[in-house]
Formats: sequence, C-alpha cells, structure tokens
Amino acid sequence: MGWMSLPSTNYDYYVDPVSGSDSNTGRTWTQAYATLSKAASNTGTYGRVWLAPGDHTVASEIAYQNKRIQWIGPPVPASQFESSTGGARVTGTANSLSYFFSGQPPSGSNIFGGGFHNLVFDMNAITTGNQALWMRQTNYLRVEGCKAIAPTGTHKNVYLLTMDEVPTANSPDKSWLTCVDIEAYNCGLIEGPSAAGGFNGWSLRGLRGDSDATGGATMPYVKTNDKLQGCAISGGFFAHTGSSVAAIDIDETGVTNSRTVSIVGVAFENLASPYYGVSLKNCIAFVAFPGGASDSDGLIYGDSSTTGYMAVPSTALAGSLVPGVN
Amino acid sequence: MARSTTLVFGAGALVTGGDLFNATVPLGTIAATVTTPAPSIFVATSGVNSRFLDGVSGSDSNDGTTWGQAWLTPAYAAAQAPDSTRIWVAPATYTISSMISYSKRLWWEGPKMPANQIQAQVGSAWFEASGSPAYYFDISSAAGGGFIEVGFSNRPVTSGIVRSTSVTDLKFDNVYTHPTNPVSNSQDYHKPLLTVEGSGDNSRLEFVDCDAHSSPLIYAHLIGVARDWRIVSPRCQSDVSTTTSHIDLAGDFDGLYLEACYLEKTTLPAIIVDMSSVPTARRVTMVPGGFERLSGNSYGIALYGCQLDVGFAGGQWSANGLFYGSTDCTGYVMSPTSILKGALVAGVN
Repeated sequence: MGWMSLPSTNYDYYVDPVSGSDSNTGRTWTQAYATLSKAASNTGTYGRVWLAPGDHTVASEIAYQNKRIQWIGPPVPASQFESSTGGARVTGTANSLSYFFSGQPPSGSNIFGGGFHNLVFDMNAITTGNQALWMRQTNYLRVEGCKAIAPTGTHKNVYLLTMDEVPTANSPDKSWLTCVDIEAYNCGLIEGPSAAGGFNGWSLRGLRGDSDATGGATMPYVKTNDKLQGCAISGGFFAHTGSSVAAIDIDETGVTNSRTVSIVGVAFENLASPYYGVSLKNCIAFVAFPGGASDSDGLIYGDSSTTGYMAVPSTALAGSLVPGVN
Repeated sequence: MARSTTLVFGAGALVTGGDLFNATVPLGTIAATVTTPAPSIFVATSGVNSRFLDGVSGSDSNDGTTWGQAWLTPAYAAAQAPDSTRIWVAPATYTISSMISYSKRLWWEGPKMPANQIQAQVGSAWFEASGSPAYYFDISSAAGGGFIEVGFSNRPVTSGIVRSTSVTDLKFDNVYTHPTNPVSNSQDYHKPLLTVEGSGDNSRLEFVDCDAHSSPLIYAHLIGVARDWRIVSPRCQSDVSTTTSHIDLAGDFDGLYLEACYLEKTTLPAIIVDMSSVPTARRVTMVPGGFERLSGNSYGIALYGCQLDVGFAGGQWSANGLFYGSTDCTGYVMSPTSILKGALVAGVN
C-alpha cells in the first residue's frame, strides 16, 4: 500500500506544520491546516488526514469520539524517522501529554476502523504510564510503519499503542487489530486491555523493540492481560529487556476459557536475568522460535495452567510446563 | 504549494531524500535557497500504467488518464486500460450488473482506508452488484494484477467475488467482503472472495490481510498447478456458523504457506487442503493463529496427501479436535495435546 494519487474527497484533510494554517480549509495541500487537532475536530465520521513531513507538535491531547480517522504520513525509510527528516513526527512538550491520539466510541458500541500509517511518535512528550495511541473499543484498527521513540539512555514506561476499553460499556471489543512493521525504542510497543472484555483475531507482524538504557527495558514490549481469541505474533525482534521483564507478556490469569496465542519467528537478544523472552499465563499457546541470547532463565515461561506447544533450542526452556519438544 | 528554505552550509552535503524533497546541495560554504515542490505526497506508482476510476465524478467519455479525466464504470475501465495498469479507484459505490472479464494485468487499488473500514462503505471503494452476476471479476491468462484496499458485497453474486483462471502473481491486499452494507444481518451467503480454477498455472498468489464477514475467503479446486502461495492474516468471522470452509484448496499446491489466520464458526474444517490426487505430496507450512467456535464434526485444519509442517495454538468449541490428517500425509504437527484426530501425524503431541 503506497501513497496514492486520489482526488481530494469529502474525507480528505491535509496538515502541514510548516506552511499550513488552521485558518485554511484543510481540504488541499495549498489549504492545509497547521495542526493535527484542527484536522481531528473537523473530520466527520470518516476521514483521511494526510501529514506533510516535519514535526507536528501537539499542544494538548487529541481525543475524538465515534470517528474512523486514518492518519497517514509520508512513506520514508524508518531510519529517517529518528530525525524526522522526510518523515512526519508527532511530538509535544516533554512529559506533558497522556496521549497524542485517543479514539473512543459512544458508550456501548465500537469504532470500526481507523489507523495510523508511517508516523513517528516522540515519546518524550508522553507522561509515564501512558501511551501515544489510546484506542478504546476499536475494531479493525490498523497501525503500520509507525515508530515510537523515547529519549536515549533510559527506558520510559510508555507504550506506542494501548488497546483499551470502557469497562462499563455494553459491548466492549477490541478485535481485528492489525499491526505491521512497527517499532519501539526505549519504550513499550503494544499494551492490551487489563479489564474485562475480549478481542479476536489480532495479527501482529514485523514488531521490533529495543532499548539502549542501562538495565534494559522496564516493561514488556508486548503485554496483554485479557482473554485472547486468536492472537498471532510473527516476525519480531526484541532486545535489552530489564530484570523481571518479559519481552512478550501474555497473562490470561482468571480467564475461564483461556484463548489461543501463536508466536512464531521472533528473535531475542540481551534479555536481562532473571526473566524470559515470552511469558505466558493460562494460555493455549503455540510458540516456536529459533532462540536468543543472554538470558540465564530461558526464553519461555509458562505457568501451570498454560497448555500448548513450545519449541526453542534445547536448554532454553524454563517454568513449570511445557509439553513441547526440545 | 512550494517550500522555500534558506540553507547555509559548511562542509558536507545536504541530501534530502524520499519522494517529497529531492535536493542534493554540493559541498562548500554556501547560502542557497532550495525550492522544493509541493509535498505531492500522492506519487503515482512508476513502472506501470496508471488510470483513474471515479464513480462519482467520472465519465466513460473521458480518457481515464488523470483524475480530471477519470472513467466512471469498472467495466469500461477494464476494457480500456492497457495491459499492466494500476487503476486507482476513488471512494464510491460501484454497481456491477454483469461479470467483468479480462485477460491482462490490472491492479485495482482503492483509497487508503483499510478494507475492513468498508464495513460502513463511506469513504471506501466498494463494489455492489445489481442483478445476479456470477462473479464481479473474471480474470484469465494473466501474469500479475490484483485488488488492494477495496471491498465487495458478496450477497448479490451467485458464485463469488473474483474468479481467477491461470493467473500468476495475483495479489490481494486488504480486501474485505460483507453481505450487506452497513453491517446489519446475521446470514451467511457462502460466496468466496477468491475462486481459483482451471488447468493452467496459478502460481504465486499473495493474499494478505483480507477479511470476510459471513463468507469463505478462498476456494480453489485446481486441475493445474499452484506454486508458492502465501496466505497471511486471513480472517473470517460469521454471525452464524458457515457450512463452507473458509479456505478450501484441492489440487497440486506446490509450496503453500499460511500464517496468522483467525477463522471461526464453521461446520466444516476451517481450512481444507486436499492433495490426495497429487502423485508427489507437496509441502504445506502453516502457522495459524487460532480457531474459534468450530462446530459439529469440524476441524481447524484438515489435510489430505500433504507433506506438512503445521503448528498452531489451538482453539475451542471443536467437537472433533483441531487437526485432521489423512493416512497419506507425512510431516510434523505441533499443537496442544488432545486436540489431534485422524490417522496420522508423525509429530509429537
């Protein structure tokens, strides 16, 4: 999926932080808005918001309700993201924002659709414990080509994406998430919900998480704590986790019918001791990967209520289970 | 909109890459004003022809070469577009009254709305049928082409969405089907998104991130050969149990790879691969994500006559188990204990 030549439609808006103005119509590049918040407030239920290269500074959290917005940056190589050269970087004042974007449906329903494409998020702007993207009860969200970067030298307790919910809603759901080629540097990548609810059919492919902090990452790169109904993680690389932190942490404790999780083709490096590449609790799991390095405990942990098949090179397993072959 | 930027350089060179800003400034202490073009983010793909289809503002009297000259109807676009053409499809509902047949490389690419966003149709490239065509598109004897970010209603057609006969290098990316729009029903219409048939070469299918609601995804019963199929993240859900398999393959599939699926609510196996008629069993590699709500005598996966390498996470609500392998299958199957049935499985469980 590349950038494409489409006519401006009723669903298209344009944001240019250099030459745009919020006094413009936002409907062409020559009439581009200056700010993302202006675009978010002016889109209808559906919208494609095209971001020009440059730093898009967010002054306050951008929350929208019952909208299916596609935020689309230019397709530049990921290596260019770090300096934002040629890319679209979303930033803000350091440690001032709970999130950059939050999508939320009306109570009792779900959002169907929306996504983030080719954006880099400056996680220095996000307050500890929060996330760049706080998506609530969102089905069919797509995140691709995005990168979350926290300041070097320290691992920040924030996530690129949190799939959350409103526990009091009638139909909480966070299904059909697709993430492709996303990265986290010195922060977490994806956080699943921790309250009641469910999600089906997550497809997470091409994930990368790394840290240059002394002691490594202080939180998992991928963490869920809810019932899973088919979550596939394939093609990942995770490195430099901290002590007692698993790179991938799936915890289904308390879920009556544990659900399926499949993790294949991921690699790990420099995992701190003690802990694991993958930690599973009360899951039905299939896990197979080639192994990793620098972890004294092993690469997979499964608690006594986890069943499934797990295969990594011999001597890499630990924990109470694992009816697999090694 | 042009950008003017005054740059002062010492030693070194400024190279601003990418499609948007292309400027290389030579070394030396200079002051320069670099005027870059408007951030024409919409860069047409090079290497293939481009044509444009606009179901709102287009006209079949146009030449189709620009948005201002966009065609109106898919049938006219298919007939007029030269071989090896990407047809950019503007957001609109395109009504097709009779099957569109062609034998050339056409890529139909919709707006950057993930196909599943088409559940509400608005803002997307959505194909509906009037009357009862067998298929929307019937492609034969081509080397390339496909569908990207478009959606289809699968209810009015009698047989399926796209039929492909002897087409190699076919691509489906972010394609979505649903019986009605907006979503409002709980019926299953059993119309495959992709039907592959015929006695020719159907190699190198790439089928990624395609979702179907209340319908199968792929039906392929081949006389010919299909090499190197790659099926990634196929997802199919239904409000009611479907009486068809979501992926139903029979014939000579030489090198079949499936990854990260989520398939639910079938009374037949969610995935069937039958190579029992093939003299030399072929290799099948599957690492699906999971299955849910399989009912009756169903399985998640049923394989016949395959050399296989299968690993998956398991699932629930399957009376029989999640895997069946016939006696002529060989290979290795990894899955949770107690969910295997069938005659084989030279794996460990």
